Amino acid sequence: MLSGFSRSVIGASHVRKNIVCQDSSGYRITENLAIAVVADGHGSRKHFRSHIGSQFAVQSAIDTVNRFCSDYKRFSAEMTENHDFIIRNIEKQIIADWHRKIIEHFSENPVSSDEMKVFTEEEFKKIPVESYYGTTLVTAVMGKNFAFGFQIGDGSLVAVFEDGETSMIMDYEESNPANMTASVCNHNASSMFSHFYVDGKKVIAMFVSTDGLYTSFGSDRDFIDYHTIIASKLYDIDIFESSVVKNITKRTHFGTEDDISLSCIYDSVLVQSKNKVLREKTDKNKAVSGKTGIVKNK
Amino acid sequence: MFEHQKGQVIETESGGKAVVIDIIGKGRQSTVYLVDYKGEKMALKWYDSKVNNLERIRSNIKRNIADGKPDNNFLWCRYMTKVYRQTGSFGYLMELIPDGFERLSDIVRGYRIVNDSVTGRVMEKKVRFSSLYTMITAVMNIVNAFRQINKSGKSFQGLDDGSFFINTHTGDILVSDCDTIASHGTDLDIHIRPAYKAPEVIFGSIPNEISDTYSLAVILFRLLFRGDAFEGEKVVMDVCLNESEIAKHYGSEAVFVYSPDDTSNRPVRGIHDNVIKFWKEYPEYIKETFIRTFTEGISNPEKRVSFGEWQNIFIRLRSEILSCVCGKSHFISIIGNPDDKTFICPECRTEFATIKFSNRIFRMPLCIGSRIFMCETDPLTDDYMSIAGEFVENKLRKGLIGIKNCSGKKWSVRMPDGMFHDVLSGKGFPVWNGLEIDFGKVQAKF
Repeated sequence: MLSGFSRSVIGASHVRKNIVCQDSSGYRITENLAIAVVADGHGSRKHFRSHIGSQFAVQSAIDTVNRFCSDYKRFSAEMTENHDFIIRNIEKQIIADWHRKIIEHFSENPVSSDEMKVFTEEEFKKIPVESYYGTTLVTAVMGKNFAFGFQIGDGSLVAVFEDGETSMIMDYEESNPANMTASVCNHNASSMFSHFYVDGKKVIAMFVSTDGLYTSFGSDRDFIDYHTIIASKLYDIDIFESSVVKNITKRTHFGTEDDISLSCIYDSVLVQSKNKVLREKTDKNKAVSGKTGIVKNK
Repeated sequence: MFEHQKGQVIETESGGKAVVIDIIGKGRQSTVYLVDYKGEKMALKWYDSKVNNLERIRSNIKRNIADGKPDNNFLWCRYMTKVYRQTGSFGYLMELIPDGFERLSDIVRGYRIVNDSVTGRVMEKKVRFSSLYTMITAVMNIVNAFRQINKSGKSFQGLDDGSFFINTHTGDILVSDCDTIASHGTDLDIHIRPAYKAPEVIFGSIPNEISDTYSLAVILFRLLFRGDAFEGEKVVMDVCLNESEIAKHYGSEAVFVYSPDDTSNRPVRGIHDNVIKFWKEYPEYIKETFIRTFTEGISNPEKRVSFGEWQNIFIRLRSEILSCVCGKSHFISIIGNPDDKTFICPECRTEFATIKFSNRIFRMPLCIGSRIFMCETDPLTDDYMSIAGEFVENKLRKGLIGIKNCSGKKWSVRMPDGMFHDVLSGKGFPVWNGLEIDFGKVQAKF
């Protein structure tokens, strides 16, 4: 049985500056499929509606994946052969859907004098409407016999497999070269996604998070080990929820002090049956890193 | 997929031996190797043994080798290998793509991916034409490549963005995948994406000259507008799970993204930004030509634009480039002109005089570096690349423009004394208000 969780918490720097949380997150569970999404609104001056843009991105991702999977049996069969083709089409449809949403919002909510006052007339003219709403997007999807994910802009996607292996699975570099920043609001945004697809290897849980979580860790290793630890706590969702929310809230004071969003989807049966594997893996990681408990560092 | 190892020796049918140096790239149905053939570095395209119709492909390559390449714009099949006993597959040798040529697919997306030599990190390197003139030269070379192939009774059966390499500084082109060029009536049954096929080919017809005029329009649209002529909102919002499902949007349900009668498939921001941007930058006669091809021409091949028509359209477009001293270039048809004989650069407001040829309705702006081509001074010639005349700046008096006769023929020119004088090839003369040139079959007035 598939289950999920998601939460966004405001970053310490945003609290200090009296800025609303720019992140959004969500998840949806259907009979055959689980979807987890996070989006990190850019938040800087010209992206003054990015908190709304990130909400739209999360909605668009969930709705689009659902549309593609409405006939799950056929979708599942086609994914085996055509996953690149299908995932690219999903990415395009999300961009189209997001644009529809922001244009509708913009036409119902013209830019106020308050929003405009920080720009000169010349500066404001140069900002395209979609930039007002700029955001990243990270999505993870679990089916019965496959998993996939896609991402535009920064953020992380971590998968925990049945053998306890935990990895940041996205091959992010090719479509996001070192000299460019990807965003849902970019020109030709649909070509800037990265994606992955796995089948034949059971996934216990998948986590997507905004950049605030990653930057609160000192190393990739600590970040990955953290996910093994929290995956081992999914067997009791109530305990998981309270401890993770507490922990990510604390983490907003580390690193870039940015907002943090974490969404998770998991197979609750596997979480129970593989809990011993996950605990053993956690202990092994602790022994290797010489640390105890959830990693805390700046 | 089977792979040759480095150092492996592969025998050609002509008795030569190619030694594998490295893998250059892998496709769905083949692998391309760098090989040493008699001391020359060449490319070896090796088919996967699971490819359909291997025998038909082999016969076709043999025929192409025997026929020879139409001209130097083709990376033609040079040598056929023997069939490899272990797998039953084979390959052919062709020349390597020289430095300076970019893939059409990279031009369409505007960049190529490179590895930074210092950090090893993946970087984006912009791929752009050095000028509008260079781009239109490349376009005309592509049109000519289609003409050459069809003149020889053949057509393209497997083209896509990967079939064309372009030098973005000269406009030179190279056509690859020449193993998929086959005589009209031959069906190689090669798998290509529906976006490049004429509708009737999607429905099962064998490619021919008529379908090639359509495929040419698809390629030209991609090069000029950097996007897909049929992928708009209608297509993006349709849930398609495989290529067969999307094929209907290029066949029975095709709607051109700028169809005047159906707005359901307009380009989408964030996906088709290039098309949205560039559609505004071309003159109406270019847009109308694509509209005709991609609306009426979908089901009525007679409405498609012939290779010759495309060539004439781009001869016009090339002569309408205004390359201003400020460094910007524009097509004059889309910029304002204060009267019918003058054009103004929209960037710096510099005014340009124009030339009127006796055999056409449009005028050509007079810019330093502009060229008049042989096909413009002699309507009977097909020579669209040889320069007949060039506008040059006087070396001693800056700002004074003259014309150099490069045609190899004698021109008759009305000079400021009001009399006509002969100007031999290699000689120049100043441009003045009232200048007339008699090229022989065509006259021009300034």
